[in-house]
Amino acid sequence: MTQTRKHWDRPDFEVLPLGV
Amino acid sequence: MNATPVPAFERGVRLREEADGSAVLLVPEGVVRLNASAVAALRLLDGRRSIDDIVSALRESGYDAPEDHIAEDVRELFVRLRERRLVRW
Repeated sequence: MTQTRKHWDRPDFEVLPLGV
Repeated sequence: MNATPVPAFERGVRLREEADGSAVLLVPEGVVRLNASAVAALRLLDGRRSIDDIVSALRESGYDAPEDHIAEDVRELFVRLRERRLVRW
């Protein structure tokens, strides 16, 4: 059985100031 | 392996998981939107695991990226989070 590999992207984040 | 820092969320920062599997960080000044890889790393942040422990766990999770890429990306993520005062160690 073939195991599906999960896609890896460079981890990223974005701070959204209260406004959200 | 536990030679790297043990990160923890800064005071007032918490991970909120959504029903669709995504997650955001709730912080006093707003919300931090995360992509899927960042969510995977932050789910492992428990104040006990070191950065290397988190890298090892992610490497074993079956991602389609070379292990050294995952390690470099995760270490960089935590440095950036620390610079934004979202995690500490």
